Amino acid sequence: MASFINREAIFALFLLVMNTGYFLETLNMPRPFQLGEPGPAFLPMLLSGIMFIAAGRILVGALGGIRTDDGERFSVRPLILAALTIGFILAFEPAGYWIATLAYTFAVAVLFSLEEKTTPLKVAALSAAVSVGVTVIGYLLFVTLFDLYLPEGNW
Amino acid sequence: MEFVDGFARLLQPETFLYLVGGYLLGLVFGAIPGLTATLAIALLLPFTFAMELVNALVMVMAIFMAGIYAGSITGIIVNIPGAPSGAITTIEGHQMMKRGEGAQALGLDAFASSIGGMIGALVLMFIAVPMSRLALQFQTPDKFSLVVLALVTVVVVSRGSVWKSVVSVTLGLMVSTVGIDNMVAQGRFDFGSANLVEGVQLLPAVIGMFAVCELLVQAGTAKREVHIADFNVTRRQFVPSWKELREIGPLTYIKSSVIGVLVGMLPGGGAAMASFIAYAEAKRSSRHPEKYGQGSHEGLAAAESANNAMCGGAVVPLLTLGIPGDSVTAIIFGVLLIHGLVPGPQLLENNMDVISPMFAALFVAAMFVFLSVLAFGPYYIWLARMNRAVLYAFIAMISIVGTYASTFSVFQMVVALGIGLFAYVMRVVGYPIIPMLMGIILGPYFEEYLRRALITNDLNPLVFITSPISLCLLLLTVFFVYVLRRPSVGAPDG
Repeated sequence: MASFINREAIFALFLLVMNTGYFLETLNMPRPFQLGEPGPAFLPMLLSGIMFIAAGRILVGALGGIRTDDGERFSVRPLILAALTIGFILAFEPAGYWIATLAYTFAVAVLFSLEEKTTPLKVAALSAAVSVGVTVIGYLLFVTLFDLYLPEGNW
Repeated sequence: MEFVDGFARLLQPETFLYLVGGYLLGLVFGAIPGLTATLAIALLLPFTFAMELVNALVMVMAIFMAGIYAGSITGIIVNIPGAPSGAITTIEGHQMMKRGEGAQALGLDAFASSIGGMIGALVLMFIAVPMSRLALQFQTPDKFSLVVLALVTVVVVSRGSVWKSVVSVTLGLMVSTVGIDNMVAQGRFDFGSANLVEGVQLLPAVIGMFAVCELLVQAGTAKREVHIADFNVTRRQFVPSWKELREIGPLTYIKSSVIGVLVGMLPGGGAAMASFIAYAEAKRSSRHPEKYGQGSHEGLAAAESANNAMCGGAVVPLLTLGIPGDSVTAIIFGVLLIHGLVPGPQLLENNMDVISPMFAALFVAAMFVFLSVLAFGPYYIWLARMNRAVLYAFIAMISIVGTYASTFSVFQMVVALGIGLFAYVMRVVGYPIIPMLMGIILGPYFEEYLRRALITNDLNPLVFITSPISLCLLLLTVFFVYVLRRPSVGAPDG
């Protein structure tokens, strides 16, 4: 499968680029055995070498058309969920637990409800109910039961 | 006689309530991804000031046992282990769940946990002191070779490309090198960020790799993957049949429990390593290794017996040598100190009246595990038929908010999401995730033992083969590689 080979090769290439950055960072540390002991750079350099070999081997295999494994099917919905989660994290302290969590769980519930064969009104109603229920349970669990701190927002 | 007194103490209503309360607390914390038994015990620590010491220790033991067991419940049902200890059980248990054997999987899981937990508690009661002397024989090179054994095992038991497993475990080890160096004051890969100086914490890493990654995978899955033939399960279905138990065999339970106890006694061992090693050994000696990764009863029983047997083993060095081997026993150390008791060789001789109820609590909590699946099992199954919007909105909230609540840091929420996204991409491209988790967990020990062994032996690498225990462990590693990478052996994916 050409697309699979491509994404496998791209990921291996990404690993190699990331590993190069990791290796360059180790050069800012004292050299291994310089102070009479392996030192903080020893293991990172060793790991970097292993990564060059393993990721390089995968890249060569992918370019050579060797398909090693079946991965998960790619879809745009995980990207939407990731974007929602980024928004939730950014809004969590400024908006506070209640508003941020109500909005986030509503959006997540809508995302997972869209696959059901039902009307938009029912999706909205179910998601609103889920959102309120999950947010209240979360508050009871974290704050009331275990006395943990959750932000109240900059109001 | 002191042990009998320990059981008698549990019959006191107040102590028994602490036992049951601790068990239920551990069950909830262990089952919810992102919350762990360690967190539950850590949260309990301030309250132990006001508790009687025996009650506090009884409650801690019940949380420990229940938390380790419960990590596998959500793993079996929705493929998200509540704790790293449930990761291997998840591989086999969720496969059984997908083919409509959820009740059997939960029943076998609880039965194996009970057996392992009780064996671990018995070992703690009767051979704690001699076994801790054996553990004391492990020198630094031996501990390094043990970590190598665990890391290599996790690579070779992963299905598919060994190179991808090597990449995965190496990535985990690389993540563990972020932050201040443990042996010299040298920042590594922190890029000047105060948030990275302490390194990547285990909690957001686990939440990212399991909860966030699974959420993303489920978001990309159009329909529910779990299909249960019959939702109307009865409690009888949670009782393993004689045929199933005979198929697994008593040797699997006993051998895996012994492995769990031994690994638990070693610093840094932990439930995850215990279940990995027991699982690999069960697969090596199995007559049906091809079933592993496809919902093997034997694999599930081996992993689950070992991680609950670890509970008893982990307490041995703490009480007899004063050495906490992991985060839970370190907190128990704190509970004892708060009440003026110093863990060490004198503790068992002078304070058996306080310690024996703790041993008894571990044993009784292990019995509770099987009883609890009979009581709550049908409700566990209900998790799988829960509306996806409800289930994943709840998991999304508890995972991300749980990270904040336990670290008070928005940055750690970002770390959990970042690791989750990376793990998702790895799964898309067919890389196993569990080797990466093992790399993160064992990385600090791997580096410390490697460097200490070299420093104390004039940088001579031959120390790893001149030490008899280390040599045995390395030969065992080679043996595992040889046996488990045979073409006929199908290994599970992370």
